[in-house]
Amino acid sequence: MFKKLKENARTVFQFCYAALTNGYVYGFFGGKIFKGNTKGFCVPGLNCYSCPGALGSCPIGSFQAVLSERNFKFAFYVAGILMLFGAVFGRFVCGWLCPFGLVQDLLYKIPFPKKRKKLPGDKWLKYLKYIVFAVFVVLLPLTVLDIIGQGSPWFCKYICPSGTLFGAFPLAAADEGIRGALGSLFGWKTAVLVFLLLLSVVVYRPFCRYLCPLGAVYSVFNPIAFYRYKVDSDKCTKCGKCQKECKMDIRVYEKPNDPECIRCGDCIKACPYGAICPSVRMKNERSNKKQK
Amino acid sequence: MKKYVSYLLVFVLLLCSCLAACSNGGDADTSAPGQAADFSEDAGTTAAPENIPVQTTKDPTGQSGVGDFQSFKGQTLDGETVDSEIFKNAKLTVVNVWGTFCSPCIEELPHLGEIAAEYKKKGVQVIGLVGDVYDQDGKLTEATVNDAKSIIKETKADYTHIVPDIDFCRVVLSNMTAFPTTYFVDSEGNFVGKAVVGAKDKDGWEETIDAVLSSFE
Repeated sequence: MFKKLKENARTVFQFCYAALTNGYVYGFFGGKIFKGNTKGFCVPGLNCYSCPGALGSCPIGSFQAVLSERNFKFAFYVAGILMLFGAVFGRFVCGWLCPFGLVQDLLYKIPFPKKRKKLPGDKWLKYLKYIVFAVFVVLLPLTVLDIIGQGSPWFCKYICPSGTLFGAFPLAAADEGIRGALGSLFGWKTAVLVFLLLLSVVVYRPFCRYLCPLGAVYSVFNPIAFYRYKVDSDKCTKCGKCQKECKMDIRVYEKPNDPECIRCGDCIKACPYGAICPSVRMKNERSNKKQK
Repeated sequence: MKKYVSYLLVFVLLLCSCLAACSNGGDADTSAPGQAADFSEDAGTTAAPENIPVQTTKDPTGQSGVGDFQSFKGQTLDGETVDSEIFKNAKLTVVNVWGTFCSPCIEELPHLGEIAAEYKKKGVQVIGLVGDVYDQDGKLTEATVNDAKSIIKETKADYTHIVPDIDFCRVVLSNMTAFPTTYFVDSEGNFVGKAVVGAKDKDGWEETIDAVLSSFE
């Protein structure tokens, strides 16, 4: 039993972490959103503020909300937190600390005749998430304003599947008033969610690869984050087993800190020579730059 | 061993920077927002820095209802005192709780303005309740009251808008899931029908109000 646990350590961790950070169980029964003091802190993953159990805030949601306020033009606190998480963890957050990432991981385990690691056109599609960030998280909340100059959280409102699944569904299930307010926008959001959930059975983490603005932000930090993967050039034979195992299809021996790497660690387990290991960025690693 | 030392070092560095970032009061620099992650969305309210006056809500109680509006007390935006006597003016009062921070609330105000004019002859009055006029310390914020006034002028929602007194405001807000929420009250201040969560357009309101009217006739 323990062996099974160890093999799936990351999934177990993801479950425990998601349960802990969304531990306001009362919220699920009453259809209420927790509004205590801890909501003042952003959790690192895409964890909707409106999830009844959520004890912390979503950084992307918070970013849009501050940009939407009429008195503010930039979200310093949220930007700072994003940079902190990015600089320390990079996309480790994606692999270990994101509940919607967990959902996609689990869905990919469902058997399907032809599993894919990416969609055709991946070379261009992977940049879509940066556009989502620039347009839906930054630009639109800042520019499309109501009569007293307030914006709207465009990404949360029109795209985020994590919010639909963990926020809208539980709230609507528990609160009659919310159920009555659902309309065509909810229909659209549900369609987006269902599409991504179905796609996740076939393609590994399509939302993370192509759409997630938070992943976009952290991906920029991956090459320079404190937490990183190191390839020991003495042990590596470039056999390519790491890339074969890598569900994000990264040539690990060439680019261990690729922006798409979510730090799942499958490559580490797969390497027959133990050449890959997680490490903390130290000053002398600048000489290993050619390994990047 | 060296690996663990480096992990420990990073952790200690992080801890120090987090502790250094914490401070007691708000920042003196007005161009940067305060410490708390502040945001508003059309679902619920949350703690805000000093210059955004939003009523903080305590943890929700176990009740889903507000009780009734018989203990209702407040002031109009022009400062006239108001209490539950106001409900005697009509057979049915539509109490629309809205906030200046809430875009969907503002979007439906023009529709409610038209409804208020049209349904007057049917014995229905519309009252607006501005829900975000108090700051975290419970003080009335002039800026929000002025915002409310200019919004009302812009949207031509020229029915009576009320600033409830702080205690009533707290009771209402702590039981609301989202802005806007609209309650229906009879002339005695008792609830009629079900509260409506979310904004509606004119047709939606006509449908809803007609249904409530017929249910208690």
